[in-house]
Amino acid sequence: MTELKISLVTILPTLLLFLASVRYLTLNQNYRIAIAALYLSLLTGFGALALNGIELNTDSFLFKIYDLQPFYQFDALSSIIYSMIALIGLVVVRYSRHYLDGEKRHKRFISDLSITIAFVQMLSVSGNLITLFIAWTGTSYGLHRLILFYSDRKKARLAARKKFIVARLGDVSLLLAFVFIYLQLGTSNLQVILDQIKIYSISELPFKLELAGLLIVIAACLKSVQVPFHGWLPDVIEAPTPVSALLHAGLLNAGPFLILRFSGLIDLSSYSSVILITVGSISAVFGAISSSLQPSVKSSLAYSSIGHMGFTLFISGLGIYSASLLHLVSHSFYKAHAFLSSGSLIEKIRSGVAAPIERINKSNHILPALFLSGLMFLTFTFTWQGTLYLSFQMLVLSAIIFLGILSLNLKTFAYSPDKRSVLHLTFTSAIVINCFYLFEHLFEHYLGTVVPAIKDPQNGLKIYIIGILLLFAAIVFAQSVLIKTKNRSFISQWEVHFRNGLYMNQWFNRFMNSLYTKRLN
Amino acid sequence: MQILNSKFQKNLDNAVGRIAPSWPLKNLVAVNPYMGFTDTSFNKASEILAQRGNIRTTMPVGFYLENLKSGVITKEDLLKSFDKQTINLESFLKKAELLGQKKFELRNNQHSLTEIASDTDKQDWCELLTDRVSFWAAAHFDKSVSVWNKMHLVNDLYRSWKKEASADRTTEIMGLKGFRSSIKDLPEDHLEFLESFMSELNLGSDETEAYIHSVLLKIPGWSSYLSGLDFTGNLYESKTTHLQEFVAVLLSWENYFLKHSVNKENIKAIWYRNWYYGEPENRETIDELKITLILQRAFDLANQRILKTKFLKHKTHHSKSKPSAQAIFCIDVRSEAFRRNLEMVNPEIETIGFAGFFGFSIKYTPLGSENQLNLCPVLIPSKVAVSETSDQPESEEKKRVSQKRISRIWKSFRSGAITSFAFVSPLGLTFVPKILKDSFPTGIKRNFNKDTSFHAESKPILDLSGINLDEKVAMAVSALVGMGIKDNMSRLILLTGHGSTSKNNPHASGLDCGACGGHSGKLNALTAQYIFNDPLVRCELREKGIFIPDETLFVACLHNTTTDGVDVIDESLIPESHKEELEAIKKSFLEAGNLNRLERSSRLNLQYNPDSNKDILIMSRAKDWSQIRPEWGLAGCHSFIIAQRKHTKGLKLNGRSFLHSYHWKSDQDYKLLESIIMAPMMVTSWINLQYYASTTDTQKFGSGNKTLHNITSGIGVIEGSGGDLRIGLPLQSVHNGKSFEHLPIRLNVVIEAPISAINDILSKQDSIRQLFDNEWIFLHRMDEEGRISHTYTKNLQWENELKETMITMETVL
Repeated sequence: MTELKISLVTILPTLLLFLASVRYLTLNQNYRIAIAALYLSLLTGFGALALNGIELNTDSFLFKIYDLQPFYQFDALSSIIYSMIALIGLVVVRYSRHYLDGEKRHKRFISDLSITIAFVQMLSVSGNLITLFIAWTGTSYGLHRLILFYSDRKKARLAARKKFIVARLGDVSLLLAFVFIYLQLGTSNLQVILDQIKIYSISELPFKLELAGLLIVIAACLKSVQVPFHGWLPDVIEAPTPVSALLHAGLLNAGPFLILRFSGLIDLSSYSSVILITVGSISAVFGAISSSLQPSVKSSLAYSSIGHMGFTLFISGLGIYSASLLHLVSHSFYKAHAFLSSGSLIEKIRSGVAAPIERINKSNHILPALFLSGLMFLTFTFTWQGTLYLSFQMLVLSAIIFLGILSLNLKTFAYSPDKRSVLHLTFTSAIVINCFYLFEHLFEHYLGTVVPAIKDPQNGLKIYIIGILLLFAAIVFAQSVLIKTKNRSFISQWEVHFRNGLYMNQWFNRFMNSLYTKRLN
Repeated sequence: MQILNSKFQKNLDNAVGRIAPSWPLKNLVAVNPYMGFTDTSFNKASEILAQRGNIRTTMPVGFYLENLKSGVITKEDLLKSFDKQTINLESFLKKAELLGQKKFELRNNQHSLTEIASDTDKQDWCELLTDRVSFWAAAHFDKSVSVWNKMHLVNDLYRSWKKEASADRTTEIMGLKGFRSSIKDLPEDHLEFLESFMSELNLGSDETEAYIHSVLLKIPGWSSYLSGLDFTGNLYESKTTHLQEFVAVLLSWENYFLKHSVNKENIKAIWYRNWYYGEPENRETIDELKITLILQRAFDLANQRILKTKFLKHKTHHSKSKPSAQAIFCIDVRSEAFRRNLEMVNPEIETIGFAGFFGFSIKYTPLGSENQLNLCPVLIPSKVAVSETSDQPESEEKKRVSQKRISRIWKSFRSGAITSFAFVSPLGLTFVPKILKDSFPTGIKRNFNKDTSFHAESKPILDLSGINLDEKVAMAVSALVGMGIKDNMSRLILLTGHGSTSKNNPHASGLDCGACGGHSGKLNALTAQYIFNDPLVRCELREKGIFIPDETLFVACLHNTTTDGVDVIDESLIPESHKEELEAIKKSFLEAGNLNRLERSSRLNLQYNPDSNKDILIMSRAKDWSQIRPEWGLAGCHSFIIAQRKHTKGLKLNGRSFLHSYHWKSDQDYKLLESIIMAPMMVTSWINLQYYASTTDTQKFGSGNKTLHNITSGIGVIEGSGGDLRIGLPLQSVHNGKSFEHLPIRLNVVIEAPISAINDILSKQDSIRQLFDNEWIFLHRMDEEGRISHTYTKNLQWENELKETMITMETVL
């Protein structure tokens, strides 16, 4: 049993959050209720995390188990996401207390935050297609209000309009997916649906479900700003910083979460994973490169989120759902912290650590770095897995970790040849590898049968994935080592194109006629 | 390189000279944003800025009308403000009220082809220009944000822009057909392009200047930053011409709309029509401005009246006893409140106001760093080199260099393309404790009783071997003379610099000491301590007739203006003989800090947590990453008083006055007064006008809303996702959410010295006289009884104020 049956107490925090958004309260009341609700959520979330697989059995009113299962589903996946949102929500609401002090619409901000967090919570524990869909659109509604916090800003309005279009497309595709599922299986109960899907095997998935899988993938890509529907994301920094923190750490996750929720279906569908791999890796590469070229902190973080969301979907497409969840959760905390502390860059510049290191122009460090990284990597992989014959997908994922270690070691050897830093950075790379395996194992065991197990892909797909991996390697190499080329202006031109996000947002703006103005004479 | 014809070069220089410099966030120093206009009257400059750049130099009429209603501005102030103009009071007020009811609208000025094109095409090309130029400039100057360092950096701004703009497709996607080729076809040299383009426009001298200035005001932020680069460049290394190159960048857009745009004929015709009779002007704007300018002057006069009354009521403080300690504080307005409270808790301490770098303008090199910091006012170049050292400098240096490298390599890994995936998956969860630690900062209560300043960071050991004895002595002499303590030194002399602590605050350095170039005053104070306590220096000083008693000890301290804690910077340097006395002083500091926090608490919005301890609430601001107003900085500054302390002692000036100690009787040829006017007064005028400008125009000369700030290229901030680099102070630094915390009052300089002496200096120093003659700031004279007796009008003329004020006093009583 991986499912915790629901009692009233688990819904209470969400209800309280909705209460915190009531207009008739004062700012302080709004704030205190929201904070109380979030502490309670944390309690619930951690309780659920700890009790995963155990059923509660008490008869008191609050703890009595009602059969709310048709609406709520509090399984391992839910409890991880739910606790994460509670923690990030708490930090973001606390942050907003002082950060927006003195703003005329401070109260509205707190209440909009509460609504949005409540919908994300609801999304994470929905056990029913209807509540899932309501929560899905609800998060978008909350976000819309938050983006328009400074509604007098032209660019904020533009961002909201662009987001509105993309979100509605996503809603439609999710709605259609749910309609197809209902038509095929005749129920809206999520647990029943997931159980029923298990009986199919790949070849015999009915057409309606195949279609539903595709539509779910599309909805997820639209929600999680995949290329080319990312245009509104870098514009959302037109709203106060906590909005960005909540959006990047909470709302974007809805896409990968949806995939994980329906992983049973996605896993059986024949095209879904190919689409996820393709769109995900394109977005990952696009976001990663564009983000590395941005001259502004928040814009760089925004593009980086596109990349990370792409990477998460890419892993889902590979079929390692536990690793996908790990990346999702890790990224949330990382990005929330990065946004909330985005003002501290100047402190770092003052202490002289802000500038990144230059690229290497000598090749005599490549071999020792390759040797050391390889040795460490193989040793620890063997230690954790007991074998070097990993599944194909795990191999791909580990290879990406290996690439990171390699680039770290390359720069260490080239720029910090003193004993101290070589030791320090070697030790850190060891930690990176070990943490990866540790958390990967933890998540895999924790999720258990909530997500399908890894299956070996077809050979054609394998080659495709290896191609993508080579592309990743080329990018890592290009940013670590200075390539001597005659065609410099070609490279610098592409720098301009990538810095501008390959102009996809510009086309979107043009489509929206963003420069239109009625000026006075 | 092309040689410009000298007439055009002069016009170009004039236009470029109108743009005031601005500094990057790592050392944000206050600067007068109207610096290029001090040769023009305030009113005229206001008109020019409104016409050319839509920049507001006064508040909206409503602000003044409210002050009229509440009685802050009286009818007399208003009548006085009319000056020699014959205006009917009634009809003026009616006009003002009508204006107040009108909705404020931004008018398009139609100076540039880009603006005209925006109108004819109904597409905001100005916005596109700002976005594109700003985005390119940010990338060009970026050394800290992007992880992929650009491989082919061109130093010449114009060439770098040409490269970028001929690759960037945004302009064409947004509808500017043929933009890239129009850029590609421009000459390679910016001067060649400037000359040929301007000769095509065929404008007269004044118009050329006006036109170029108006184009620069399209992007006031980046223009000011580049002007700052040129300013610093000229002070230290060599002449640079960044701003000139930038003019060429902006004119490349004008060139497009003149020659390549679809509607070029139409645009051209309108532009030539606009400039036919000289610089285009908008009468309506000027008429409205005239009203608010009169009201602004009345507001200034009203506040001068209030200040005068304050001094009139105050009794000069006479104390005969020799102080047990002398504490030198920075002239900063925040010192005023602290000094008053310190004198209250311990009357035996004499406090003295002096520029916070204590006269030691140093260039500081931290251990293991190649970056040198200029710890001195930005007006003067740093003189001597001081470097950090330690017990084992070599190994320490190695350690720091390698630490720095490690963190830089780590950053490349963490935020690099693809490698960031290998970072986030394994280590993202380590941000859970981090985010909790930042959200729930600890250690405030613990520090409260012991150490109120959070300055537990390492105490640097300084290496002064870069300064020879003669330099040390010369600096010591001028400092002691300037502080006015050369003949009466007590056993302890506390050199109290100041700094501020805040977290996650891009504008943090703006809260630090301006006299130390936007850094904490810690290192200057420490340098001073080293030099004054040096027996060799004391020996040499004796030969010059300055006798520092053997028992006198100089102690460097640091006042943390966020927490109001004062720390002795390096306790290990205190000999046993003075420890006991110092303990008593430290106790006084602690008590004064309590009082000062209590005083400040009324200005900080603390009501939301009525049950909590106010001290903890204030001090926790220093550690709160979400705190948007850690302290008020210099907000509210309105006067600079150059006088003996006895005239201001005990007078509650509410942390709004700069105080410089000065006794004219011991300043024989007024050399000291001249140097005070030339340097500290200049700095205070910069600070005051910086706050003024950030208040009256929170968008163009203020940096807008802090909640939207997005640090760009490590230099400055932009608001939201794009737009110009933002200069000046954030809205939250001058506004408390309900009303402006800083009121637009032009600085009142009050000098206790004979009028003839002040006039002598003014007639010698034209640049200073212009400030007063053109009403950028005001000048008053204090008499021997501590009253403001005269006010400077113009052309070295003074008005006797005493009679008038006496009358108002009587009506008040």
